[in-house]
Amino acid sequence: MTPKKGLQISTPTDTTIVLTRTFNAPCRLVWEAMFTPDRMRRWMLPPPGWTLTICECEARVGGALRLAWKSEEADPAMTLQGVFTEVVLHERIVHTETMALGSGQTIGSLLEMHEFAEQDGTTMMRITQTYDSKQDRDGALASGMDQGMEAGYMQLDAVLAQPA
Amino acid sequence: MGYSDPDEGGCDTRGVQVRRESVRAGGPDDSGCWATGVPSGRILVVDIVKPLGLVNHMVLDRSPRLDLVFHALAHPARRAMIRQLSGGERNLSELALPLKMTFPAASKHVRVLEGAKLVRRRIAGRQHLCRLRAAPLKDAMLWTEQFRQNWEVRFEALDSLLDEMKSEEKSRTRRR
Repeated sequence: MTPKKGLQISTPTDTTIVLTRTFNAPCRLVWEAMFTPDRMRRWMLPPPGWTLTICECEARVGGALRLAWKSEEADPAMTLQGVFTEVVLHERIVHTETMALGSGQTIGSLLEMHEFAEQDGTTMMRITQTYDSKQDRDGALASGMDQGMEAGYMQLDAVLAQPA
Repeated sequence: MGYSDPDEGGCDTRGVQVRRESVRAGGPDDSGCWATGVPSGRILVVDIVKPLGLVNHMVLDRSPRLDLVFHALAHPARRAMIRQLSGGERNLSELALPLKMTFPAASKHVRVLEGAKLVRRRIAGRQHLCRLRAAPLKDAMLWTEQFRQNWEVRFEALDSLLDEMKSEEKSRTRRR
């Protein structure tokens, strides 16, 4: 029996988003892929036209997380900085995260916790993102809406056009 | 936990969230409120910031209809009502009871849901029977689904990387 693999999203409290995902690899490899800069560059895919320019990650307590992207218009276009506050190798890792525009203007911060559990060579990962407010949390949730937007509007228009 | 009365009118774009974006056209009014001062149907181009620091350019149609749906979903009592109604038609007392709410308060919330076309109410004798109209809700949920898919795309790339790392490891052990 294979465990449910696809990403599951839930919002257990007003300020959190929980993401759970299973990977068909032992925990130490998942950890390495997620917290080693060379590996991170391979899967943290930037949007079209964007390049990940800085990728630093020291997964130890007090260690820094630093990412920067450039776009066709700006370098950096966006930065992400954080500090690891708790690290239990291959089990649990917590870091802060503050995002800013290239201009330096802060656009949001959150606390992110990764937890891992390995069983029979597969790894269950749970990410808990804690935002400063419900508003910030909802904003993050809605942030994917761009791609679904058009389709969503068209469906919604169709629904609303139906006679009541 | 008690629920407040539904706030009538005002500006509640919590479901849409255009606060964190940098704005190319239009802008919030002095109170930081986005829903007012923007003529309906006007197109705003805004940058949406994703949790992983990625920016999307999106065209946001300030459709008042969509605002209604998100406003309706932005209250816990109304979400609780929707959950209840997903089990089938309920009368107003049935909706009010688990929320420890008066009949008029519940009725107000139902009115907000009706306004967003999420609920249809029919009156049978002395009973107000409410039924869920799930389609607009499903469309609203599509937005959350996009958040999920944006991450899932990265995790699928991570799957491939992990497969590669596993074979690397295997060939290393074989060589030894």
